Amino acid sequence: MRSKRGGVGYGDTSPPLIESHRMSQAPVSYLDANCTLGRFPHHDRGIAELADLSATLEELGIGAGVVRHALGQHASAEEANSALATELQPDPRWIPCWVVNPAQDTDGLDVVPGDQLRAVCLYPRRHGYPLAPWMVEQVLAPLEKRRVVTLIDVDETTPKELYTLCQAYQGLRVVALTTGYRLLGVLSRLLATCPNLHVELSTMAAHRGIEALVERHGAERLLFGTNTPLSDGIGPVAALGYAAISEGDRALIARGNLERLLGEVRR
Amino acid sequence: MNEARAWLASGRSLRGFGWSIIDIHAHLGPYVGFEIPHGDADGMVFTMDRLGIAVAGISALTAINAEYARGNELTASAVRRHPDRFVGYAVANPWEPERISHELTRAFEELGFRGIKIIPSTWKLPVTDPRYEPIWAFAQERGTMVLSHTWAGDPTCRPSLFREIAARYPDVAFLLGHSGGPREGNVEAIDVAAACPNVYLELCYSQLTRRQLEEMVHAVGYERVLLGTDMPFIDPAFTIAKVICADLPEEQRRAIVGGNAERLLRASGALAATGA
Repeated sequence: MRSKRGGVGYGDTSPPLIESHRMSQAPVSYLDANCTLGRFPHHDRGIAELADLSATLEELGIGAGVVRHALGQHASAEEANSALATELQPDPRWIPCWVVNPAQDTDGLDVVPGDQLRAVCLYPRRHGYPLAPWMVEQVLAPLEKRRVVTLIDVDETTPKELYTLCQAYQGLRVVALTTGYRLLGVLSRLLATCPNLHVELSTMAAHRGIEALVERHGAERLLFGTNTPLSDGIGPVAALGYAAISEGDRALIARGNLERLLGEVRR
Repeated sequence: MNEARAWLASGRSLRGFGWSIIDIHAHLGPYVGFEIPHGDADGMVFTMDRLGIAVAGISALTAINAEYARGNELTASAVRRHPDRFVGYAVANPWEPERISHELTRAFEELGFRGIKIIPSTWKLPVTDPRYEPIWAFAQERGTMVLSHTWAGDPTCRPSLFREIAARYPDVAFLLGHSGGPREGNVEAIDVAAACPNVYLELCYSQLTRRQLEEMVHAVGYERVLLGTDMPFIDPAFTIAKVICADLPEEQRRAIVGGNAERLLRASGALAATGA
């Protein structure tokens, strides 16, 4: 069973191994588009302290990110945003992703310092509203003018709603989070028809899925994320590391694209 | 961890860092349910080369989801094209119990397969149904392994259903695919493996964490935990990374990522059959 090369398998018919051309280059720099602070009521994976979240991500080589708070899913927008304002304040590497809830009298943004409004997230399913223009107009129209980065978990909505949202608010930078591997073909069509749609890759585990998306749509709308602590971030680190794409595209996905989007938000 | 993470981030084949990787649970496209880019044999070998996967045990998705004989032919075609990279797993549907012995014999003797794959959830037939008996009997007679899909709470294949079968067929290695998947299924899979020495835990589950993997190893021992990736459903980098970077001694990680599978496949005569 031992091959001539000394390991299991790799017979003579296998193609030459693809050796790295990256070891001599600088390590990949990551900006995590999808991590969450706080505890979850339904399991034990929550991370309550920023220092612990930071340590978890730093172990993966990730030193910065856009952070949500679990209170936004399980309590209220106001509580989540107040907690983020307090807990992230000491460490500017972690950028707050504020929760906005158009189905409440107070949408949650009144506690957000205006100069820190760069990213928001919506939870239509948990917060019990349809992601339709007539429902979200009052909240999203001002965010669209400022080009605020708007994150939505795919399981909080539907492809049809995402399409409608992107078409109705073409200045809004929409990011589909935690897509899973089964949606590759659907997301690919959405990316083709919605130039303001972006895809976060923490759970986009489709076989050669990153390659396929880059080949069809370019790398500029793909964002690295880990879904920490709900997922194990070493998976997306490895998937991006092994994707057969150019080093320039890899760097854009790892950090550059999200950095660009955050930098384009109007004050 | 830092060293292993650096290997992964480098994108270099793990073979170059001395890892010998065997994927005990893979498939072969095409698939009807969602898009799988490059899910054919050559596309999978490309991925295997990039990561450093030496060998993958495969069953065509057509075999498990549609027509097993047609699917077995697809598997055989892939094995013929890459005989030192793929080991074929035979599929025979228990809804046709009278044909099982013939199909498995054909698959093993004519097509060179060396394992059996079952998917009770798709077939909607619990593994405890007597129509599976010809499969168990064939596996017992040939000393070959059976890889089954298992999932939390699934009435056809929840892990606890394998306890009695494994006890009745002690010479058959039963691999619990996905190790039961979600948390409650995983706990059940660990219980069954702890009670049955011929039950193994296979790791492909997209939401698997390193902590969960470490718990499995601590509960049943590293010798009965095996890497599977579900390729080409899922990019194998996700699962391999969790094993390589787990908080376990290197000897154990090496066994999980390849050594245990090598032992099991050798016992089935599989690796000798590849000629690799």
